[in-house]
Amino acid sequence: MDEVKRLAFLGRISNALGRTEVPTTVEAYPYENGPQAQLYKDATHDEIVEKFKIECDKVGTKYIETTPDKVAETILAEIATRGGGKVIFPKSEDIQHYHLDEAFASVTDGSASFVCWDADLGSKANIDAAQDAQIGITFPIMGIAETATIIQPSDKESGRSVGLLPITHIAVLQKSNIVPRMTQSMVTLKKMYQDNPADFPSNIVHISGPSNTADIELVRVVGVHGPINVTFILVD
Amino acid sequence: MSILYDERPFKDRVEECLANDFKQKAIETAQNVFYQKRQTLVDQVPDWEAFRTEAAGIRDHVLENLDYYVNQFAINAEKAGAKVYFADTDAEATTYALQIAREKEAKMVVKSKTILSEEIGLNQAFEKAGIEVNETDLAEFILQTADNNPPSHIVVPALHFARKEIRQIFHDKLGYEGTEDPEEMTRFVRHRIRERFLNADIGVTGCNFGVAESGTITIVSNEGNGRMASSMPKTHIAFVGMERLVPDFEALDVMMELLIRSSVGAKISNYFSLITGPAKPGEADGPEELHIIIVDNGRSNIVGGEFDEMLRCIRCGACMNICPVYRHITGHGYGSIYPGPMGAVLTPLLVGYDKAGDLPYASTLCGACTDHCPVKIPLHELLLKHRVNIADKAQLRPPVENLIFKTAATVFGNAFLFDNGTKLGALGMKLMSKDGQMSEWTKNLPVLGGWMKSKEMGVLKTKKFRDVYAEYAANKKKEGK
Repeated sequence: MDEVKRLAFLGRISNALGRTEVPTTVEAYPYENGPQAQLYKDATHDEIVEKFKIECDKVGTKYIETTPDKVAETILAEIATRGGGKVIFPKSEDIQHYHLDEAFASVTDGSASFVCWDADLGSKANIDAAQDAQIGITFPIMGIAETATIIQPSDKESGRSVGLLPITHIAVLQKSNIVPRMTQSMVTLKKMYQDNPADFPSNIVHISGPSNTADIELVRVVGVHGPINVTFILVD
Repeated sequence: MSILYDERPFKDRVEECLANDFKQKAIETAQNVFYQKRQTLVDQVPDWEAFRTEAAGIRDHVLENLDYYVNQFAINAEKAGAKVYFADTDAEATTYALQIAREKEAKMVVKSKTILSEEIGLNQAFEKAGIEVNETDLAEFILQTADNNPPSHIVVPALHFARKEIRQIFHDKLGYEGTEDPEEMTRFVRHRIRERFLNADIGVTGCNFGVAESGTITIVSNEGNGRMASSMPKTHIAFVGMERLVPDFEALDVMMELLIRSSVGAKISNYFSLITGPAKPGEADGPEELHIIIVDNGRSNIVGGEFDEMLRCIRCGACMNICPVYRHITGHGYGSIYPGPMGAVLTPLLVGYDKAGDLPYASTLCGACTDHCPVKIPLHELLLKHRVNIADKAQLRPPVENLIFKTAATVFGNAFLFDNGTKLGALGMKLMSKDGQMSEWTKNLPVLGGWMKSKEMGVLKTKKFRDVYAEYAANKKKEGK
C-alpha cells in the first residue's frame, strides 16, 4: 500500500466530511436496535431444522436426514443415486469421524472411485482431480434455516474446488449447526475473526442450492458454472 | 465501456428504444416478474420497513465515517495478505490493473460481473494491451460475444436479446450448432468458459460489500462464476467502489436480507463468498495474490454533499424494476451503464450535467423508486434537485425556454395581460381545433407538436370560469332583490 496515496485518498474523504484527520475510533453500530434479532426468537431448534427442510423443498434442493452411524451408508447410497463415478473428498477429520475411509474402500465394484484432496500434491494435481471428478463431498460448518444455506470454508484440507468443479456436490451438515438466519451465522463468523484473525479462512462461501441463471429471457436454467446437483445430508 | 456508452442526444436514443417492440416487451416482462416475486417475499418479511430503516442507518453510519472505514478496510485487507491500491480515477485503476497483468505476464483474464470494471473501462484497457478478456457471467458473455453490446439492466444485462438472436450470435461468432433452448445454450457456454477458468492467469471480480473489520471482500452470484474467478486463477484482482463498505460481518445480514429480495425477488443468491486475503500458505487452490483496487473516480465529490444519500446505493436495481419511464425507454434510453432512477441520479454526478443533464428529466417524479429502494434513497427528490441545479445553478436552460418563462412571468403577474392573453389563447386554439379537440395538423407544428403528439388537449373556452361566476353572482343578486 502506497502510504502517500493512502493519505491523499483518505484526506479527500475527510475533507469532504468536514474534518482534517481520519478518526482513530468510531462508535460501533448498534445492531441490537434492528428488527433482525427479533425474528425466530422463540423458535425451538427442532422448528429451525424443520424450517431448513421446508426451504430446501421450496427451492428444490435435495436433502437426506440421517444419524451419525449411518452417514457413510447414506453417502454411498447418494453417490450411487447420482450415478457414481469419481468422487473427491477433503482430508478432514470428518472422514475418520464418520468412518468414510472404510466405506469408500468397501466400494470395489468400480461404480465409484475415490480421491482425496491432498494439498501437499500441489495446485495442479488437486484442481485436475476435482475437475475430473463427478462428485465432490464437503463438510460445511453451519447451516441457515431461513434460506436453506450451507456455509463452507476452504482451507488446506478442503479446497475451494471440491464443492465447485464436480457436477454434483454432496454437503454433510450437522443439524446442531443449523441457525435460524444469517443474523446468527454472521455473529459467529465475526467472533471467529475477532478471536483469531490470522486463522480466519481465506474463503467462506454460502451455498443455497445448485448454480443457476435466468439471463436468457428470464428462463431459469440450473448449472451454469458451479454444480448442477446439490444434496445436503443432514446429520442428527 | 465507460459510464456513457451512447452519447447521441437523449431524444434519439429514446426514439430508437420506443421503436423496438421486443426490447420494450422484454423490459415490461422483467419488471412484472421481478415486481411480483419481490412483492411476494417482501410481504413475508414481518418488518420490511424496519429492515429498510436499519439498512439505511448502517449505510449512513459508514458514509459518515467513510475515511475511517476505508482506512480500516485497507489495513485489515493487507493484514490478511491482500495488496491494496487506492485509485483516484478510472485511468489510475486500469493502469494499475495493467501493471499487475504485465508483471504476471498475463495473456488471459476471466471476469465475473462487475459494473465498476465497466465504469472504468477495464476491458478496453486489457484488450488494447493484447490480453484476452473473458466475461463469464452468462449475460455479460452474450453481450461481449455480440460485439460488446451495451447492458440494458444492471442485474440482467442481456434482457434485450431474444433467445433466437442469442442463438444466431453464438452460431455466427462461436460456431454453435445447437438449438435456441436456453438450457442447451447455457451448457455450451459452461463448457466453453470452464476451460477458460482453468487456464486464466488472472481472475477479475467486483465486490458487493467490503467488510472493514476483517478486510474481507464479498461476492454475490447465482451462476458460480464469482467463485470460479476468485478460486482458479493464481492472481485475483477485485475492484471495490470506495463507498461499498460495511463495518463488520453483522451488517452483511441486513444487507443481504434486502439486496437479494430487492434485486431479483429471491430470498438469497445461490452463492455468497467471503474472501479474506489470498489463499493461505499450503492451500492447493485459491489465488496466490489478491489485489484490491479501491476506486474513487468521482465518488469523493459526492461525499458530504447534497447528493450523498446516493452513496447508500447497493446496486440492486429495484428502482428500475418499478420505474414507469424505464419501462418505456428501457435501459438503452439512458445511454449509461447506470440506467433507471439510480442511474439518472448517479450518472450526472459522475460525468457532469453537460454530458448527462438530460437524465434527471427521464422521470415522472412519481416516487415509486424511492418507495422501493431498500436503503431508502430519496431518488425522486434527488432527481428534482438535479433539475433545480441544472436550471438555476448550471444555467443550462436553453435561451428559448428562458424567454418563454420570462414572458410567462410577466403575463401571469399582470391582470390585464393575463385576462386578455388567455382570451387571445382561447381564440387561437379555436382556430386550430375541430369538435372541441386540437386538430391533427397541430401535431406537425414546431414546439407545440411535441405536446400534441402525446396528449389529447381540450380547447380553452373563450368564456372563462371567472366570467361564468360573475354572471352567476349577478343573477343571484338580481334574484335576491
